[in-house]
Amino acid sequence: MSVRPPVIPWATPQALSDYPEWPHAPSGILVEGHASWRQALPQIDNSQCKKCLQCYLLCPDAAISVSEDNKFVIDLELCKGCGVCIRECRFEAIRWSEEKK
Amino acid sequence: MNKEKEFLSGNEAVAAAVALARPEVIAVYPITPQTTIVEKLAEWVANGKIQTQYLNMESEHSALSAVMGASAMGVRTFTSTSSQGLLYMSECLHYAAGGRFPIVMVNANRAVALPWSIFGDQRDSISQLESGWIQLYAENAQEALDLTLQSFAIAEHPEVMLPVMLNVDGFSLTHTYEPVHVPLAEKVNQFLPPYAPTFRMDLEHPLSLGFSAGPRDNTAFKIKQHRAQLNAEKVLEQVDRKYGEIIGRSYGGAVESYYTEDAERTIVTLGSISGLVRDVVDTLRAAGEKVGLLRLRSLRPFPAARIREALAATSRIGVLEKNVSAGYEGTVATHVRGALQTLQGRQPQVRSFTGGLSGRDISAKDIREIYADLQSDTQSTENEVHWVDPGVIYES
Ligand code: SF4
Ligand code: SF4
Repeated sequence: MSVRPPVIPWATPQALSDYPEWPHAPSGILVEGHASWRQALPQIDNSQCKKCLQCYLLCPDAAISVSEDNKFVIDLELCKGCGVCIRECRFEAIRWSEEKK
Repeated sequence: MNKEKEFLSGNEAVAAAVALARPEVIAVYPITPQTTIVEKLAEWVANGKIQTQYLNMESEHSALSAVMGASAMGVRTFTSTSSQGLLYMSECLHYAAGGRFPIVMVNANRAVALPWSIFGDQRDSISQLESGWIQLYAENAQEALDLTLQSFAIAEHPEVMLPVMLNVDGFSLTHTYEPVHVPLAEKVNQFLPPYAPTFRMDLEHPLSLGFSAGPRDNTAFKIKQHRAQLNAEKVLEQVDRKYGEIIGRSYGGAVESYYTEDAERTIVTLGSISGLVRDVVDTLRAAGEKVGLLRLRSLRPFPAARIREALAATSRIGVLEKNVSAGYEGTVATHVRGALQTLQGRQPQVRSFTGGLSGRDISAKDIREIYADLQSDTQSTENEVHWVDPGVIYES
């Protein structure tokens, strides 16, 4: 199974030249994570997960990746809590966490 | 050089240029008076004269979206529209400029509704000045052809990377036939090599295209976009010179001055009406009147320094445009006034003239009257719009 390339760490830009010339950059660079938008936290139950990749493909913020030991994990810096993954998982492997954020 | 001229309408001249520019994707939606450009291109795709992916879309919004997607794949793209179609694209106009996609679009200048009209004026493109596109204006069919080719070179220049909207007056240029010199393909290939994209969708080197930027980072991208526009003024002069060297015609960059060096009164205008203004200048000059013409070939970037330089001797300026910003004055007049603000110690008078709305004819007599008006000392009230032959008795 293909593993998403790691998020490239990108120092907070200081000068204009630290930014790309246009709003396109190598995959992995996100200008900002959207964790602060999150009102609720989705949680993946890997024991229920069938590795169908729906959540991985449909997460609008590419927050879901596959770990080295073949688990589906949510990057809490990137996840904005939209719930798309919860709706799309056909195996009810993703649910809202008890913890609010 | 191919000396033979062909008898072409403005739209056919544009189509000939597009064929020579070899875009890999053309996505369009027809609208009068632009349609004959894309009809011609469709015919050439059908009979094999040009090889391109030709997409007939369901709307202008989709047409521009499609060329944006194609441009993101790293290919040369072309589209064309007019009036309501341009306005329907408005969301995508900002998107394309912010995304720095070097799309070339020809806009056949036409009135916007209401009242409904299919005839020409410049309200469509001027209303989109803030969209971030480079905006050029052609005077005749020959220039429409030359500027179409130059537009690709400007848009794709690495220091620019912005979409270009080339404006061609509806009907008076798009549907009017003139002898036009069509350059040879090998010359054009020399002037305009294949597009070498600086960024593109590529599975080997994946990019996140069109990401978002919030309060912290958004301004940085807007500064870069603004600088690219400013670079475009220099680049369009370079491109024009290179075109002159290879193809044999050039236009002097963002403005064209005619007798402005010692003109007391100058008309500043843009597009097809410039030809008639030049004729009137000749007549009045022959009678000893010190009048001049300054033709703007670009509204974005706005060539403020060149305008200041060209109008250094002139004390009375009339800006003639087929546009009005209701509640103020002609938008081009406001721009020219702004450009002259920094003139040291001298403040020439700028008057705003609006005419030619919805294809209404502007005659040589109207232009003589503008020069006469500029001679009169009657101070117009601030920002008063002078309506050029409005066709009704004008009660103030
Ligand atoms: S909640 Fe939304 S952003 Fe977060 S992982 Fe699910 S789909 Fe992605
Ligand atoms: S959609 Fe559900 S089952 Fe499919 S990979 Fe994601 S969590 Fe697993």
